[in-house]
Amino acid sequence: MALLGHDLDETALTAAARALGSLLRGGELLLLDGAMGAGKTTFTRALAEGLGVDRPERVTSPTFALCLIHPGPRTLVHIDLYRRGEADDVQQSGHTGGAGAAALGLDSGELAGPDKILAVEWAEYWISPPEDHLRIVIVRPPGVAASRTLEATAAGPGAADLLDRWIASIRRGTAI
Amino acid sequence: MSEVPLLLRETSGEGRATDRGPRILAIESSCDETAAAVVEGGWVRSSVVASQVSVHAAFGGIVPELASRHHLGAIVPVIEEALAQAGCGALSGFDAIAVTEGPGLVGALLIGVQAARGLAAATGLPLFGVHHMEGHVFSAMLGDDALAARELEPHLALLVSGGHTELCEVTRVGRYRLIGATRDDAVGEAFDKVAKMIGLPYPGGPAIDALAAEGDPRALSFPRSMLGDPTSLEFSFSGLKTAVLVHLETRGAPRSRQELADLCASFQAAVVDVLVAKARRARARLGLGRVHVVGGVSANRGLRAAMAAAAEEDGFVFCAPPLRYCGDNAAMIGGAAAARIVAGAAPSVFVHTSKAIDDPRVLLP
Repeated sequence: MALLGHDLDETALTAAARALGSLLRGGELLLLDGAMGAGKTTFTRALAEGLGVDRPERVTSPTFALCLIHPGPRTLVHIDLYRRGEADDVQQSGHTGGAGAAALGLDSGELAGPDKILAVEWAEYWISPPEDHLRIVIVRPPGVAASRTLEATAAGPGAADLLDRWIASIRRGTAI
Repeated sequence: MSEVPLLLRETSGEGRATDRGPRILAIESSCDETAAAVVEGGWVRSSVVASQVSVHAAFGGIVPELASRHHLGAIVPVIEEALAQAGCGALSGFDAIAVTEGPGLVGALLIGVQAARGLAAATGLPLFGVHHMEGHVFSAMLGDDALAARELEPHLALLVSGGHTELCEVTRVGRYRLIGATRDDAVGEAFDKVAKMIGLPYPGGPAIDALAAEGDPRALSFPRSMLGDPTSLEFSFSGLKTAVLVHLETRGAPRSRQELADLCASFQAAVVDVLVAKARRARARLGLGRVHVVGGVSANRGLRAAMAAAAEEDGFVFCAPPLRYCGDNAAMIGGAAAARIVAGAAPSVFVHTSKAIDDPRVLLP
């Protein structure tokens, strides 16, 4: 696991997200973890700006819709599994993640593709995501509104390369 | 000079023209309500909604697979009930079928769309897909036995629901321009998530609205996001959500009903202040004489009262649909389809999960 930033304000967090967005080439899977209010949607919006989707200002929380698609030279597929995790009974019956992901076509790869980037909020509810993914964790310290810690873990060679380039990009930048 | 809220208006019978407009069977299944309606133009002959709220309340929110399963079980009885209530034994004398084509949960949308396609194929009637938010725009125009239908006039629509928080300039049917929207959470989502934090049941809006009426909106100071920049028409509710979280972390959960009511009142006041301030700003900028608040959150009493007061002060007409048409329903889909048909729209269905109301496929030339 790599620590990308500590005690970040919103400007620094979104700068890191924009930097990551500008490094994406298509086909990447980004799993976003963080408690309610951590900043997953804010991160994704800045990521979309860096990626260059047509309307980054239209990135909003997909909690209600589950999946919002943002077209561009590389399409951003923005997914939110929050509602999956809320279903305790469904969790107990063992359907969490699997069935929800199946309903979205995640397991069949329908939403993924060489020209698409998948960003998944509340990704901890996706039990068995594809092997190559970058897990991004945003943590807000209790009792504090405007400070975040940003960490990432790469699984698989593609994600490892992406993480290396992201770290290098952040080091070159001045925002963090 | 605000007008009397629609739900308080007396039966006038004005909507009962002999030729009200195209007779349409409309179907809606984009989220957790399975609904069907029979309309003639903007006049509602029947509107049946099978809600799944009790099903999802146990889970604190909507569970997509459960939603699809319940739509599947409900869709045919709901359509039959809508036809029966309208006094129509069959689809004779109808001009069209309309269905919500998006945005929404794809598994849920497809159940309504497939039912509509089947009926269209069996009857030969044209099938019109309607954007869900365009339906909400027309929810404020509907008439029925207790309410006169009204013509669409240019207005600013504040679309507020579980998935949307948008300011939209409505010039005429099929001419929509989004001029502001949320940067993060939708307002209904913020209500649901804050309700969950403080242990209130899903859906959070009605529970918070009821408690807010007992509380002091000045008890706690929560942020009014995005109000500082006078040019901005954007909304943000995630910072408010975080502020409530930080409050709970530092001060603990409310220890009495009064503290809970004060928290609800203070949270709701922060939401309503921003919604009303942006709507006033946008209306003044566009020079429109009307503001319509539509979508599920338009049922919020605090929001209605504040908009009515703003209308009085600024001199615009404020309009919100009666409560029966605030939440998702099929009558509004029928009303929008009728207006599109009269405007010459071609029948087509384009199922999508996330197109905005000003997408070229929704607009009319």
